[in-house]
Amino acid sequence: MNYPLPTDPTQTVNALYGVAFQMRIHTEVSNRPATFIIDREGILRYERRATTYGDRPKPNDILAELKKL
Amino acid sequence: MHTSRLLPLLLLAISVSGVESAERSPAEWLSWFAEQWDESSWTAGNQRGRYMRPLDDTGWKARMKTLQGLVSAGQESIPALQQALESEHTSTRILAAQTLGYLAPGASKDVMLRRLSVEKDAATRLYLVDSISMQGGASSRDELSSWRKRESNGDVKRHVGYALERGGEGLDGSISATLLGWKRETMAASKLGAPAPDFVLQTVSGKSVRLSDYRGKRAVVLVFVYGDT
Repeated sequence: MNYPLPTDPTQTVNALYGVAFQMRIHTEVSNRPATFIIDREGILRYERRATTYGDRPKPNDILAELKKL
Repeated sequence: MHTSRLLPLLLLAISVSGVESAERSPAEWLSWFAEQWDESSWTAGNQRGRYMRPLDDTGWKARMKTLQGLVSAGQESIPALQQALESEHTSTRILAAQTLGYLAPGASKDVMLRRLSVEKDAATRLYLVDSISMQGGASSRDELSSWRKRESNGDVKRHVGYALERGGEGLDGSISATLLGWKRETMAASKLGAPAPDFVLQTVSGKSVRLSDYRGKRAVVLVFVYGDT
């Protein structure tokens, strides 16, 4: 599977989605890990904002959400 | 009749935007940030300490606004930021160290190198190293090489390595331009059931990605991972 890997050096897109500067890791002030699903019409349909390092949806959770669209 | 009813409204709009643009001096931004940032509210800990802001945290917004306010003031911010490197408040020192990088070239490498040698907080040291490197020029190479031998934190050591690899290449001007052009009203603009806020970012291979280019074509899974900046 191919996917683009954009970087956000100023955290401005992280700020747009409300996840900038919320986690300390590797001695840095980094973003909160988060997953969003946007449907074909560009509407935000799903969001999950981590509350711990490992808190993220499993691949099957994401597939199930995509099937709902 | 109509003009007299319209006039107060217009004036109000002008004065609000005027207050917004000259809101705070650099020193005021830094003390405002210190007031807004609640150091005690870190959550989700491990053996190295607590690492996550609570979901309803607003401190990050103050951090983002302050960063932009200071970068917008340009070189005028440098004396206040250098002073803030001596602050008792660790998060203020971290933010000051980081912001000095965005003000490159022109922030004093000597002041940052001096602080690096006495700074107890590893995150502040890490951002000092990054910011020294962003000033460009090869003049701090020897100091950073010798610091690498004394540094006890592995992450900071790694960043010294990045700084040495950059070999005098300073801050990419497009990075501070992005921060200057950023609109604070767009913070936390995403809402479930509403159009996803659009953005353009560059990929690691230099291609441009615009979210709205997928509209009408494909659903998008947008994953924010963390990584080194």
